[in-house]
Amino acid sequence: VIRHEVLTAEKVPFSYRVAGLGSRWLAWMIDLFPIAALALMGLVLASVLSLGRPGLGFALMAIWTFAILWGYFLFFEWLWRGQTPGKAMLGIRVIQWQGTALTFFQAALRNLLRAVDGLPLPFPLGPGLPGLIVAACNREHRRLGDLVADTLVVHVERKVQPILTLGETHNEADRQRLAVLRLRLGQLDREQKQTLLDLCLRRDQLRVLERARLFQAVAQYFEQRLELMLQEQESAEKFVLQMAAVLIERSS
Amino acid sequence: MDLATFLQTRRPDWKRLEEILQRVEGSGLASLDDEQAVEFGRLYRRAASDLNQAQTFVSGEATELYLNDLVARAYLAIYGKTRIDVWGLMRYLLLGYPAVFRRYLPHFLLATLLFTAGGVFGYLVSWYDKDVARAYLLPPRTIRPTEEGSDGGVQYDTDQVTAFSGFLFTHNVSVTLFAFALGVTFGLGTAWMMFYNGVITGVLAAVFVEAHQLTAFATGILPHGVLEIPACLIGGTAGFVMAQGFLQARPWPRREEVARQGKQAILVLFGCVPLLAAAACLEAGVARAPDWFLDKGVKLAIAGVVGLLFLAYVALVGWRHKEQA
Repeated sequence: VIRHEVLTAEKVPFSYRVAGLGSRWLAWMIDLFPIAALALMGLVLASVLSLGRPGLGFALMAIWTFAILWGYFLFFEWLWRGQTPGKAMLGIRVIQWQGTALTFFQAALRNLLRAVDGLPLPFPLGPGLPGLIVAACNREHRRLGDLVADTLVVHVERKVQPILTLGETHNEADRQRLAVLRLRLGQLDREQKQTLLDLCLRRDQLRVLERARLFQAVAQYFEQRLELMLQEQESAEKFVLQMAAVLIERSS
Repeated sequence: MDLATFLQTRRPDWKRLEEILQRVEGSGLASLDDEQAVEFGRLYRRAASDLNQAQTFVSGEATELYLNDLVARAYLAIYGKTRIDVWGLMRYLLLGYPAVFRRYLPHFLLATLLFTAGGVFGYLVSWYDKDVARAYLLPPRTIRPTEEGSDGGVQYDTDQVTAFSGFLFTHNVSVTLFAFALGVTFGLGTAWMMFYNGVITGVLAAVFVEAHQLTAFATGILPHGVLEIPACLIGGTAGFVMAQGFLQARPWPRREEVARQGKQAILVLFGCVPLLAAAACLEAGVARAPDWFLDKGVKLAIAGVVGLLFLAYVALVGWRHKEQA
């Protein structure tokens, strides 16, 4: 995973995950569908028009096609802050090198240069050979258009939800159980709390087997250490998650 | 601070920030009222400082990642204006552009030189061997002079004029944009485009001269050509400006220089938008108009006036206009 480091205006460093060639290619493929649909729409409209005025229909067709070819990506990346329908579906976004949203001029630049990036093809749409080669050869996978416009494509994560919440407690028994848990967890030292939380926060990054094994082990350890019991039909993972939730829950 | 306490105390703020972010990403910063905007800013700064803290004091990669992504999202939402300032753009095109044009006059002259060289070359080639010139130098489907004596070509009806203008306009803009984009080939592609377009013009001129239809050529091409050719040259100019960023990397790293020149190049390029639009109108309205409607002399006069207007615009306007970055 390649990350692009950025310093905020407040001098706090953070980073974006650079989008790989695969996701960008896929986003482009998805974008071809609306492009084709729009082109078809123009064709239909022009054909209808050309029944009455052939010249007007032709002119409209020429301008419509032109606008789609040069304008589709520009229009969306400008209006949707660096995203096209395809990019939005894959959760990637064009940003400035400094980490902020891209401007109109940058969107114009990087998309005009599709004409060169897509070169064997005679129209300014796709990533062709030059774009692919250049993008494959630099760390942030920037094609020529990105280099000139000072932009790059990154993932915008929205699914990260490592902070667990405690489910509603319905009955007295549950409430008592949690109270006990709270009390017992107080005995843990800092290291142990840390490990517990770390595991829960990171669980989505683990492979299924390792995840099950780790939670099993941790659950067993805490069972013995804190003299707790797994409830019937409660998975090890759920048990550990509950402990973590109790741990970070506001005591008030 | 240990992780548990950290999460315990800070979590409500992060949750709140996530909620606001959700809204902002959906309907923009404008959807927040004053109070919420202030809160958003506060929560963002707080999250940034939390991230800082997480990076330094708190172990736990996942928390750090979470905060990192939260800060990244907020940062994108807060910084960078994406709304285009239409008035600013208009003012730039009207007043600011000539100054930018003059700054890159050498690039423009280079483009003009190449275009002229191509024109002379094309003219000479077809002077010596017109068949070769027509077969190899002209793209298929260009206009040819009509039978001798018919004076000025076929009379098009308005519908055909519309069709032809539409095609010509998009074609010319595409050529201009391609010429610009090819600047990334260290300017070689742009240079070729300039030269080749000159060649086409030269050969065409020769073809018409030979058919003794120079006036038809002049009246058919000049009224819009006086704007279209400069527009194409400006596309080339912008391409050369961009190429300079690739070629001349000092004193900054190449990455920065390319980006800096790219920004200038797009500003140069945008100047041909009004030119091309005006050219399209002239093309439809003047050049293609039948001779009984607009006299040849009138057409040429219009061409002359428009050309002078363009020169006056780039030479005289905007000396006192303060350029905004």
